[in-house]
Amino acid sequence: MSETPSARGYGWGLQADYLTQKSLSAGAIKEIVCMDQNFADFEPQTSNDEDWSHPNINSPTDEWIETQNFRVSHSIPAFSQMLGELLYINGSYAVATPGGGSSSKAHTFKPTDPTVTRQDKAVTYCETTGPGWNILAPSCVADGWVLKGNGKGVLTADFNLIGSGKLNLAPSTTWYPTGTPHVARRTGQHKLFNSQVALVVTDAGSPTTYGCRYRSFEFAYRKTMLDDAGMSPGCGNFLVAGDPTSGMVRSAHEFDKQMLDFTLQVDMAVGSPEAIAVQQQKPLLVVMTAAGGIIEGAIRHQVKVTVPVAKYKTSKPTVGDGIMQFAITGKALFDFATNKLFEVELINDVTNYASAF
Amino acid sequence: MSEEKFTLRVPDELPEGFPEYISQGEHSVTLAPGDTVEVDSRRFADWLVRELGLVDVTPAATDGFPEDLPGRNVLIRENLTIEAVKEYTREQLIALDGIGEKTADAIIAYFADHGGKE
Repeated sequence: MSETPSARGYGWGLQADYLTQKSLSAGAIKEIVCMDQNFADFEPQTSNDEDWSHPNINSPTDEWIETQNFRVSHSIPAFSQMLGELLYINGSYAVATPGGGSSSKAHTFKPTDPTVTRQDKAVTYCETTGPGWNILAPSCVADGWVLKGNGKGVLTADFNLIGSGKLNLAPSTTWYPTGTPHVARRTGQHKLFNSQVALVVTDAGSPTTYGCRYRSFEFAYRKTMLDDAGMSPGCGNFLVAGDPTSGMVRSAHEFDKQMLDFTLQVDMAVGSPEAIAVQQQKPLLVVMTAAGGIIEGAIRHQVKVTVPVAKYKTSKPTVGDGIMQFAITGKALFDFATNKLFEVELINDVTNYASAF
Repeated sequence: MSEEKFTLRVPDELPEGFPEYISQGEHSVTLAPGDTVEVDSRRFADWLVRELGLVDVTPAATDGFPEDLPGRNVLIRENLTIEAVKEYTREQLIALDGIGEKTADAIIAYFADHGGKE
């Protein structure tokens, strides 16, 4: 029987630390619902003796593995609950109970403070397409995320996972329809939509609530990763433990710089305030809130991105949905007053992401 | 890697919205009013003190102070090292708040019996 893309599946499980793979047990791995049909990219980094001296031989005679590499990219619907897992592995995290709440929780995500650590959390990643492809890659970290919304659709998030280089092509990972599989299916997710977005930009204490002028947003958090530094020769970590010819893999994977860029699309207004903000390089407070369905009382599923200090780079007239709009690009600056580059607050019914996946 | 632990105290009164759990990278801690918590990173401990107002109550280093050493609690409270105490004279020991003549003699006798100062 042929397998079709509907057989594909992805999952991840939070590791206790970078080097320790998540143990496989019933439900230990949580399904990632993906909108794409992407699969793992893995490519050993090899070298050969092409430039070495071999009298009268002008071709390589040998090739060998130096390091192993693994990465994968995905786009996911921004389910209120699942989105938090992506945010969780990308930075610092705090959870509190919102006022008046009991089952609802307010999760706050910020970039990891580099004075504490540069090693963000790692996950064990799995994917399958059916019997022909079932893999497991431990020690994967994310190099950021892109959260976006446009049109009538569900908010989405893009991300990359970069592994240590370890890759098991024949793991014992079990998926549905196996009874009590290792990869738990994801149900009961709450979707957040672009139609639920409220965008407010404040200039020197004077807020602009975009309301009907709002069209789309994109926040892109990026970390530059110390890819090579994690390949530490002295650690003696290889694809196959104890086999130093199988290719070195990472012993850690830390980040260097953290940055947040954004794009906003809004209808034009008289006087072009967005263009003036570009020209004058005004420091702006940008707050994007998407409030969904009710969890309890008046508490809703919600994602709120706050950029305390932002500056617009461009604000160009563009055509969207047949009308003239401004496409704004901007960049977050570290705010000394609040001690952060940005903050994402997520309110949902997940108790604590430390034990959620 | 160091297995040193750092002890912090969570304030009794917490403002609304104070986190119940917090993490930075691979470091994490669960927080409740009045709790004493342990973390395994000096940098994380310092961050918790700086950002959340936890109080560092990490006991002074007790490495090397045997459980049966007379006056042990006083010596730890005074932030002394065992190497320093071994060099103390009887008079210096008696000068410590909480150490009397009898305990000072017992400390000197203890080190004499256990390979301390000659």
